[in-house]
Amino acid sequence: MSILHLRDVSKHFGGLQALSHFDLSVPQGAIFGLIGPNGSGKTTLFNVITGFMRPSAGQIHFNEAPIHTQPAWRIAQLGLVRTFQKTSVFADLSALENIRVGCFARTRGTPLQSILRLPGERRERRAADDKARRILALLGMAAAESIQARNLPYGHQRHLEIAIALAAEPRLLLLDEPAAGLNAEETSVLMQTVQRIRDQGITVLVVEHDMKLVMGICERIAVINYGQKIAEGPPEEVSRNPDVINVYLGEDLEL
Amino acid sequence: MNAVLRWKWPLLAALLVLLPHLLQGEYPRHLMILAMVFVMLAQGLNLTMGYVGYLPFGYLIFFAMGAYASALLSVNWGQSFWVGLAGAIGLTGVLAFFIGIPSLRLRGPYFAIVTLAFAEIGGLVLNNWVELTRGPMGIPGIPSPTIALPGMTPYRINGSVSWYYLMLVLAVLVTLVCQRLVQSRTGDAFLAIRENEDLAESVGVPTYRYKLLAFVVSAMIAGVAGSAYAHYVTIVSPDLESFYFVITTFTMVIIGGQGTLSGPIVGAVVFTILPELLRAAQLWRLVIFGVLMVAGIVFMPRGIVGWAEEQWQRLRREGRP
Repeated sequence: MSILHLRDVSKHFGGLQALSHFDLSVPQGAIFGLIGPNGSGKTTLFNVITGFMRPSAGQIHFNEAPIHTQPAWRIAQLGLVRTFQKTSVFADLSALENIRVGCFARTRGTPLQSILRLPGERRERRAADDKARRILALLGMAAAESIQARNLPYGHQRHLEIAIALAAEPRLLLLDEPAAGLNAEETSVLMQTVQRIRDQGITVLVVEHDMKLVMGICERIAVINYGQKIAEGPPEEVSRNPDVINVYLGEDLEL
Repeated sequence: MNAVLRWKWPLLAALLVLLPHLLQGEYPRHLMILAMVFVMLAQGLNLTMGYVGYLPFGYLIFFAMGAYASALLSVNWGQSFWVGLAGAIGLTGVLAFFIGIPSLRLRGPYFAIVTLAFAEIGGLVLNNWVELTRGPMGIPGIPSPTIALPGMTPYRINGSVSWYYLMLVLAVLVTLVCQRLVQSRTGDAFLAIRENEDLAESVGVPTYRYKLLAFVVSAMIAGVAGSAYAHYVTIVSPDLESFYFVITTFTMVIIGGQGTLSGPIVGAVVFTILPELLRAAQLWRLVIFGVLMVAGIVFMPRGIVGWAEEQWQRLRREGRP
């Protein structure tokens, strides 16, 4: 069963065709990789799926429900949450506060309840704080709780991004180049983290240039070039595909 | 020192209650009343500017509109202050809603300029709709409020002491509303928008709605301040959105400390009293005032409160072995 289904999705900016007739099915519970050269349309695809851009044509279904007309925040509340290519945290907020914002989608307190300070609203907020602490502990960042995100080391900031997304309790998590700028050791920690996330029942769709990561953890990979899907399949199969080698991997890739 | 810290809230409350009796003379009391009006105005502005991170340049139009709504309701239609206050809140809320809908689609300086344009339109209406507003002549003779509870002889707010207490209650209520809003899920959404609007949206924060909410609440608070101010000075005129009020309010929030609850209070009190103290310098008053403002921004970029917090934390670090 597929959790995310794209049918014939196109996106153009004026005369530039960023995505053309793109079909994609992400199976429930998978770690699904999306690779392609720079400028091939990966981030546009992410933006279209998550509601940051409207597709020019085509349909996107998440859990059988159409989402291509929904605003980004609604899609996130449905359980489809993304991270960004460029490190995106709430820089002036503490690590705990960052994750608490992530809890927004799973809490219900209204502004009026806040002003009246109803007991339910207080309880919910304490619960959000507890949840944020649990997530921090899970990532081994408990000591960073009250440190401003801007003062965290880079590796921690990238972890924090994922923590914010996890706090929103996604069913499908979209990671946009999570390993960018990480060293080999940090990357292998990240790979374990992604696998742990999937083991909790969260499907992961990841865009990444780090082939070790993609080939190491993805069960299925789609390759995109000039806005079109040129190959899809298990890593071994894709890495032998002559088209893929030609446009992206190069001849002497060693795995 | 620790004893003082533990008792800071009761001490502050006692000081605020006793203040009009400690200050002899009408003029110091008048300044404190004015400070309370500015506390409200600054808290309202801080909500949108300090917490959500949007700069509503035309903010003072809501102060003026609140004042006019209250003035017209009491002078033309014989309603009480309380009806006027409710009318001011209602009018500013509705206006902000309809101004916010197009303006909040824009970010940064574009938003600031569009709200300024709406404020200019508001100013033109106040000046030129002479049949209703009497134009530049303004509306004089606004009656003072009366507190009438069942089984009680109506009490007329008259004289500086009772006015001080009324303004104090309003300012405390406004601050309380702001505090509860920002220390909640709603406040999390506000801060998230200020820090990173796209990221906020990506974890399910309906950013546009929350921006609109903050803008409307800001405007309603300005409406409360406007209404109370109108009844206090007994006259309203288009000067209410003059440069003086705009600069004063923004200075208070920026130098007091944006995005903090105490910043606008500190800013309002300091910038009500400071210009009066500087009167001693006569000719040099405005020059010194300007220099102090520039120095404040250069040396305390996070405002007086932000600066004080930094010093406090440094002291604590150094005090610990």
